[in-house]
Amino acid sequence: MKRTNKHSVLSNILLIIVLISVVFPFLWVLVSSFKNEADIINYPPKMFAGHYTLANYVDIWKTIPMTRYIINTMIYAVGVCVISITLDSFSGYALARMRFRGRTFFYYVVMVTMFIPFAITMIPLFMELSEFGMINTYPGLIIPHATTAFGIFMMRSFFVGLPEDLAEAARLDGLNEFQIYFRIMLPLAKPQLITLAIFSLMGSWNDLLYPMLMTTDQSMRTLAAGLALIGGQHITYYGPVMAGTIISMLPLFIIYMFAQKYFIQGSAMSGMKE
Amino acid sequence: MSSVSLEHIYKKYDGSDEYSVTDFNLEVKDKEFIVFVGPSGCGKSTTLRMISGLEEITKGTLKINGEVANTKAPKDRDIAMVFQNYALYPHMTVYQNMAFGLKMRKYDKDQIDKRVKHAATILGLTEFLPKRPSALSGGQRQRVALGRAIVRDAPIFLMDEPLSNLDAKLRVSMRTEIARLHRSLDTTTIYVTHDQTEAMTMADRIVVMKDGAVQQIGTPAEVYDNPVNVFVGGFIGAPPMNFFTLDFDGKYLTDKKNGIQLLLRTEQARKLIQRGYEGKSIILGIRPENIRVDKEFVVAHPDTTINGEIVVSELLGNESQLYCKVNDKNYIAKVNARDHEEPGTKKVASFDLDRVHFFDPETELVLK
Ligand SMILES: Nc1ncnc2c1ncn2[C@@H]1O[C@H](COP(=O)(O)OP(=O)(O)O)[C@@H](O)[C@H]1O
Ligand SMILES: [Mg+2]
Repeated sequence: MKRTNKHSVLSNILLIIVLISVVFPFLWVLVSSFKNEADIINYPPKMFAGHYTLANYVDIWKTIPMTRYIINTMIYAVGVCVISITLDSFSGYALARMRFRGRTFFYYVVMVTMFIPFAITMIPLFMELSEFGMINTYPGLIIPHATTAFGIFMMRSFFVGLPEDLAEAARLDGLNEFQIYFRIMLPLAKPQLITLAIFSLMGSWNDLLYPMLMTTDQSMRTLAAGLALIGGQHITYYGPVMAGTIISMLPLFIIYMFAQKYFIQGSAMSGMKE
Repeated sequence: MSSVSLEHIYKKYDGSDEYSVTDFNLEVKDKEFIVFVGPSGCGKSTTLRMISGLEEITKGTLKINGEVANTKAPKDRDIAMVFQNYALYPHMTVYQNMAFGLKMRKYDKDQIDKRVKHAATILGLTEFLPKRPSALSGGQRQRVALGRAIVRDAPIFLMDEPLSNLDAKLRVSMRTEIARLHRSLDTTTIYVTHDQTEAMTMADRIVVMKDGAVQQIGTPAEVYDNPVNVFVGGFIGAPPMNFFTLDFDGKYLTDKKNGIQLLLRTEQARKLIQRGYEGKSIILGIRPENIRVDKEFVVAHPDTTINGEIVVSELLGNESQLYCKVNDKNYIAKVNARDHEEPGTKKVASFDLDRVHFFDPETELVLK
């Protein structure tokens, strides 16, 4: 009993340290976004200022096309998310459950692509899209991300773990293969799908290099890319950037709050073995 | 009326170069309770799955109710199946699990409701209907799996080791429950198990399998009393039949090395001589309960005694199992609790020659 207590005190202290180091930068950005410029660059730095203002939020909206960026980001992130979880779960299921020639080979091919860094495919991908005239278009942003090796891997791992009996019971209950997938397998994969959706949304929302590369036009920029570029264009004003960052984080934060339950469940890959 | 008939059924899995089931022949009659029994990997599940349509038939003819069913879809075969791991849909409640098959078959809501509630009453599951399978114990889940089959009202039930995930006590009570259900529902049932006790207690007829081939088909009594070969003799019955490889000199059966000598009855000896076993060896099979230690019997049968030492003895209430050894030869005697002895004791026993089986040592087939 005593040992467990000691153990939990230690781990709690550790967790608190980690928590502070994770939360502190966010807090700094949040507080700074309400400070005026002088307070932000004040030296020595102070966490809190005497005076708070909403001016940064107004400014950022005036300096860059925030609304456009938000809409672009939403189209990009949601488009990628919906298409990729659909395709990832299809392929994951096929690789886990269907018997066909070359199944293992395809699986390895998918796995190998996980280990190719973006830097290597970046230029050829750009040239390819450019050839197709897809730079500065939504399909150009979305299609290259329509499946992810990680998503396929994750869905396959999940479907592999489901007992074979389940599909057989369903077959005896009169379901065809599509019905088995949509009525039995997919509902069971809900936590995984939600986790994957959040990963995907977060990934796209925060993605910087890729959307910056695929869009050259101001009106096609996503939030992350747009915000990253203000510094260069308008001499650095930290306040508006902080405000922009907070605005860009808000949607993810809200999604995460709602889906937290599934997120934890899905990450733990738990609870499905009946 | 429902019947299942398997005619020369073979199964070879893709990528495997041996048959997993060879020349399976069986005529299942209406309302019969058939049990496939055999060691793991002998092809019981494969055969059952071919009947259900979950596995293709490589060769042979499967008829359900007289109609060839080889290529019929599983759902069109008039069968309901219970799986070893229950195979309940985890995301549905008990009610939905039972109702699902009917819903897919487009039954109307009232009908489904009536059937599900009826099955739940039979199985004592009413209070669990709104729960998810994960909230149930193993026994309750198995009951839901049965319920799912019952609501279908299918004339043929297939069950693949439905009790093997339950603990021993529950297994015994579910055994009786399934037998009771079978009687009250008037279904034709094919039940797979590797447990010979289940087979003996539940079956109308047992199909004993080994290495993909049927060894013997018969009532529990037939299979127990007249095993067709060494395998069936050894597999059916617990503790298993004792086998002795003995030399036959026309009169006596002997195992010189272990000091065993049995004087055969004249007509037994005559038959063996007729079949040409004089001067050859033979396998004698005898069930533990036919190696007798009670004084009266031993005194009356002094020519068929065996004089071993008890190595282990297990007193099981009214009876005792004596694990004995004479030189290198082990054998088991099942005796009345009165004759129970502790390990280390020498115990003279006598074979009941009315109840022995002779097998050819090469073919291992019984000599009639
Ligand atoms: N899907 C399969 N592919 C290849 N071989 C299989 C498959 N399923 C079973 N087998 C083989 O068929 C034989 C019979 O298996 P099975 O019917 O499951 O035995 P049992 O149910 O009696 O334990 C075994 O040798 C097993 O290895
Ligand atoms: Mg099996």
